[in-house]
Amino acid sequence: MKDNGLQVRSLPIDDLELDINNPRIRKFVEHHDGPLEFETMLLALGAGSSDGESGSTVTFQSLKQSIRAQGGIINPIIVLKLPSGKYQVIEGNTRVAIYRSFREDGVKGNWNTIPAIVHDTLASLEIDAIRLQCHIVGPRPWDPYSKAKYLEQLLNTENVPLTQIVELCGGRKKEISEYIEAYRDMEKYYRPTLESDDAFDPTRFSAFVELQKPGIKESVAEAGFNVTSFAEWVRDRKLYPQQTVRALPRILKHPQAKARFLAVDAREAQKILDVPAPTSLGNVPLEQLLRTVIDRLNVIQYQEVKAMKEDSGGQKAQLLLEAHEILSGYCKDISGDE
Amino acid sequence: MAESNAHQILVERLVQWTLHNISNPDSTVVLVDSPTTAAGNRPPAIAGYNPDVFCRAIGGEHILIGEAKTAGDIENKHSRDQFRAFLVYLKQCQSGTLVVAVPWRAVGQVISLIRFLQRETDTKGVKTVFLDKLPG
Repeated sequence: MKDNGLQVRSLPIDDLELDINNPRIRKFVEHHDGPLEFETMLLALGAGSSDGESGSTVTFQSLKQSIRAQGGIINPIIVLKLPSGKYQVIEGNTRVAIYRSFREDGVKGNWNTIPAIVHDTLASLEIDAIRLQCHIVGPRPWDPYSKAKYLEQLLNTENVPLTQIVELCGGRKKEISEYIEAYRDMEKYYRPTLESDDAFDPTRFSAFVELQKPGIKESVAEAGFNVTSFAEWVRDRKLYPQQTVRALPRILKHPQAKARFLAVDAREAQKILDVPAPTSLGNVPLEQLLRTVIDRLNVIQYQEVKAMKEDSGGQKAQLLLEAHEILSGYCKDISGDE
Repeated sequence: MAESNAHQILVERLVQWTLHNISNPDSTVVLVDSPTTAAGNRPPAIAGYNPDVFCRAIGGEHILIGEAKTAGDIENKHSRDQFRAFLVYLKQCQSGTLVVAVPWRAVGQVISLIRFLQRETDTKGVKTVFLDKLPG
């Protein structure tokens, strides 16, 4: 790509024009009648979504919280200078939208200007290349263990308060706390089970993240084991694939499944638990099944919820959590949330 | 880097290590599974699995099996079964070594897997070597 005319500048956000061809909102724009006002663009970019802290990826809300905590953006946006003297945003539409919303809402800080890499000219292919590199290729993510190690180091070595870490990470408190706890458990219980330190396998980390989910540690303790036992199961690949950790409460409560788990692994134990649904239910269309489940959930009594909370390792609570996990994944795919 | 290209680089490092570490190069046969190897010169199948490198000194007892894996190819059924087969075979030999080449970031993962398979197949006595600082 040409580098002539490339500058990094602080640009007034009023001089920026959001890109209606931005792939993130194109499907919205195609079905929108009338002029595209800023509020409409903001809605399309995700301001209206209630993704909050439930997601595990960067959402509009988490990006917003992170920028607010940081007092600005770290990576400059990319713009193209227009003959009118204004600038077309090529990369960074969401960040510009966030700056504008902060200014309008009177959020403390300087939201009038934004750092930008300014291109004087860009061919259509070069614009596509920027978008592809930013969104299709993307930066190479850290592996989860390295992320957790860094978070733990910030907290305990550099004494950054957890609240500040959470703010800088966009407010995903539950996820950040789970990562830090998982890292600590892995270092404290898994590492000592290994014959030598070079056998430390960071790809086992997700099992320890699963261990932090509601009801898992409790069920391990109730069955007479401890976190060291769990670490040995991970080491011995009894919990492989690692999402089988979610089935652990049900396995440990079922004598036959428990015996199978200890003798072989969680996948084999699950075969004992997963009795096929009766034909009458198995053949029911998914829509009907979901309707019935929704109706049932809508009339659930508080006492029943309380009972599940008290027995979070129980079959009902665990199946509900498992269903939530699976449904969240599908819902994200369907709604296109990233 | 394409997956097959990454694997080929690991196999090359495996061969370099083998040639550098064999005690008697003149009387040792090193068979390599690579796109340029003639069919008759490829490593023999061991319980149905062809290793990337197979090495044996003529008239000698020591067998060396080398296997290269890219990071995304370590944790699957095929790799487990393959490593299991190599470990069991090497245990039956009078003297045997399994040499494994993976990208540097996956060394801990593959050591952990091989140690698990050694416990599972009762092949702890088989010597293992894990090449370090490889790209990928």
